[in-house]
Amino acid sequence: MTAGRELNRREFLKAGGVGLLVGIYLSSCGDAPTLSSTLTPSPSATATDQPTAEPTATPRPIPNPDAIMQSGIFIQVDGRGMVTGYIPRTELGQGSLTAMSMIIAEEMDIALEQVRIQHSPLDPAYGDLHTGGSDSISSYFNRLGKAASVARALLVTAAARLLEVPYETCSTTAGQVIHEDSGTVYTYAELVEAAAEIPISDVSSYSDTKAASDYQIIGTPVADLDSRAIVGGSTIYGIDITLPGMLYAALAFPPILRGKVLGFDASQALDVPGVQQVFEIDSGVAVVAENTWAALQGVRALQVNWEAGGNANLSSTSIRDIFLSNQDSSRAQEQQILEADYEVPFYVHAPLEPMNCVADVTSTSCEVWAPTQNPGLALSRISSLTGLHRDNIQIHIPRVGGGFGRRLQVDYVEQAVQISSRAGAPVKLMWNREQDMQHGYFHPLSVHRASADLSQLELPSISSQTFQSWGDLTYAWRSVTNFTDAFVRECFLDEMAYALGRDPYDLRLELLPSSLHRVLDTVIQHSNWGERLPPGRGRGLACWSTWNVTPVAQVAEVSVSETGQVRVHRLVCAIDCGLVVNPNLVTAQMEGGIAWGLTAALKGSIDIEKGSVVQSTFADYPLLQMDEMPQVDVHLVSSDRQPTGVGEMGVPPAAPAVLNAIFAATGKRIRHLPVRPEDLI
Amino acid sequence: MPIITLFVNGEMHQVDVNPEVPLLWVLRDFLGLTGTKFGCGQGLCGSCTVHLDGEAVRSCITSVSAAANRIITTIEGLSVDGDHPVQQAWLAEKVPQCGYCQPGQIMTAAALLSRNPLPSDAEIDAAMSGNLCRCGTYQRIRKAIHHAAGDGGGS
Repeated sequence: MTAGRELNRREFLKAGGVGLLVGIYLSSCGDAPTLSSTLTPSPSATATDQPTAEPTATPRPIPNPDAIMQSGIFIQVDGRGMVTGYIPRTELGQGSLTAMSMIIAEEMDIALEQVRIQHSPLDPAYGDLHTGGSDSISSYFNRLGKAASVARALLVTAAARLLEVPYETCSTTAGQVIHEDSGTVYTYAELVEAAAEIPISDVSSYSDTKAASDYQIIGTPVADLDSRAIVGGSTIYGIDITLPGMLYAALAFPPILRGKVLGFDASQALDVPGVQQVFEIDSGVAVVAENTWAALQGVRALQVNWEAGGNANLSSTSIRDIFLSNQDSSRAQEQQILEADYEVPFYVHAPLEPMNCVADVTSTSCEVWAPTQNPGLALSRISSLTGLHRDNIQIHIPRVGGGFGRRLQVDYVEQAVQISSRAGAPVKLMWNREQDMQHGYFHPLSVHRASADLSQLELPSISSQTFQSWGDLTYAWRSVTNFTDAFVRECFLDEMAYALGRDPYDLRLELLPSSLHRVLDTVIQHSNWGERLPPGRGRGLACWSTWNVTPVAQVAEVSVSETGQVRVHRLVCAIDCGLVVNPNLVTAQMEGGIAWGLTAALKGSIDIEKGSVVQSTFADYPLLQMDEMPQVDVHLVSSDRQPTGVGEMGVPPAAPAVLNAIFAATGKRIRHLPVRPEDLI
Repeated sequence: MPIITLFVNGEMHQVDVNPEVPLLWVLRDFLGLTGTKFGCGQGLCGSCTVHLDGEAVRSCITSVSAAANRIITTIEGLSVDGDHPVQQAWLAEKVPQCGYCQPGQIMTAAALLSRNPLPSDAEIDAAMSGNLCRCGTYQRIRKAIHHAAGDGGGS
């Protein structure tokens, strides 16, 4: 808890410091509803709900709609009683912004509808300026809760001073301060102007956060606050941004990964109706047109000569072969040594919203609308590209149609900035699906050897070889190394259990740290573990504590057909993420993480041949479909720990649970991903 | 280029556009109806689903000329206030995560329910398997369709 430091930021803000920063606001991303647009006055703050006590002689403060009260850098209350939290996080569907609204509403005793979250200025004072590592709630639970409780204390103090009564005689509920003895009720809106004058040091003894037993909002299953806009089709994603005079851009990419342009013939592209300009940028050849379709058609018509660059001989098969040939000589001949090799392919993120970015660059300024997880990196790259000072760069972050780590890279933002700069107009850059599949930052291919001395009953030792191109060809993909490490350890623990004649659950209890035991116990209790299944059907268990903070266990129940088709019927999941801010969002993240893990286990992978990605569409890089989604039962293991993360945590156990279940069903050990029907015939 | 007449969400539009342009891009770039999403451009993900004379079609592979003079409904026109039974069911079951695919999912589901008011799980799977969701909201989508059908959860 670092409240003291944060509270000092108030002075910083009062001095106008925030005006020097780059402001990015969800609400400026278009007219359509966002988190900030679903706001309505709290119904409980209306006069009809007020106690009917005798009128007080104290004059009522007149609400000043222009008044602003700060609580540190994170929270601002305006003269209408609306509360804004400023947090450097992007909403990608993980629900963090909704959970943050709940934390503020809880500690301020206001309705959820009175809170909105906006992206903070890009100042490190707010914390890490990227959304990744499933850390949004764990990073901001205490800081936001403290800032909200300080805000509440300031408002109560303002009321107590107006009434000349002790602080302790006032209470808060539903956006109001109540002094029961006099029957006085002030809305927060009425108090903001007075509260803004009170130094935070005056309330330091009144600003403790609530005890968990007093929570009324935290712990309730609230839907994402943008849901109504989403189902109405009015949510504005990056792809939906339109600016006056905006042109539409598409880009020709090198067929060999990260290749370069040698030269191009624009004539046929310029013949496409609507195409206006064709020019080279760092990463390809841009076509600028009057609409998206014309730009995409222009790219198809382009003739480009490419320089292959350093990746011309890159191939998944040869990387894998080299890794396999590097494997240490087998110890398996030794008595009691169990040994197995495992393989993980390249994967791509494939969010449903392809990469896109709107940029408006002039000689003196740059404004971008970027669906990004990493505005801090985008800011420094844009500054480098344009030579503009950070103060003259504005980054707006809309709600994002899936990130999963892909949008920690800002390549598409840089491209849009270069294109707008050269075109001399605002542009929207749109990648097509093939480009999104082929020019991403992939989960790296890897080969692993696990071994254990069965006479010692020890955790396996694992040696790994991973394709090294971090930040160039590979990068974070939902759960990152946890996916790979869990796959190898958890499949091998299953192999050890069978070799030892032990139940895989019992063996895990014996070998794995106690922090995993409660989630293991929970899935065993709820999955009919140990009960007989018909032939061809089996259960598999796996567990993992992603980033060593959130233990998750899963039991998969699968059947395998005669043609080798794997069907996952049911997946039981238990998670211990500490205090649960929003059980609906945690459950949703488990469901989604499991779908991600099942896709990796059973569906598409990326192959690179001669420097090019083979797959290009959802036909050859298939995702899990509706008919393949199992029944998922999620159990939240209650815990007094501080909230940890959930966004990635459902992913790692899913693939090993399925592969272990396949073994239980068929007796066949599959040690590579994804599983293909031909592996099981 | 010939002027093409479109009837979208009860309004008539006349657009001067190449007849080969997919309906998706006319809706988005020409008419400003951005609720219909681009996902793949090949009819493989369903994010661009709209109704053409009441049937769910992939607007990314439907030329604007094929939609001329027919009744087009997009997510923005599915209901007046976002209160179509399928939209209400989506809210009740708390379906959306990132939300990007959901307009397409909802349009496919609404078309399914209009021709089959009480679909089984298998019928839901058959109708919905072409609509991809990378966030993995499928379990809730299935529940929401049963919810909208008023069948208490289906099989």
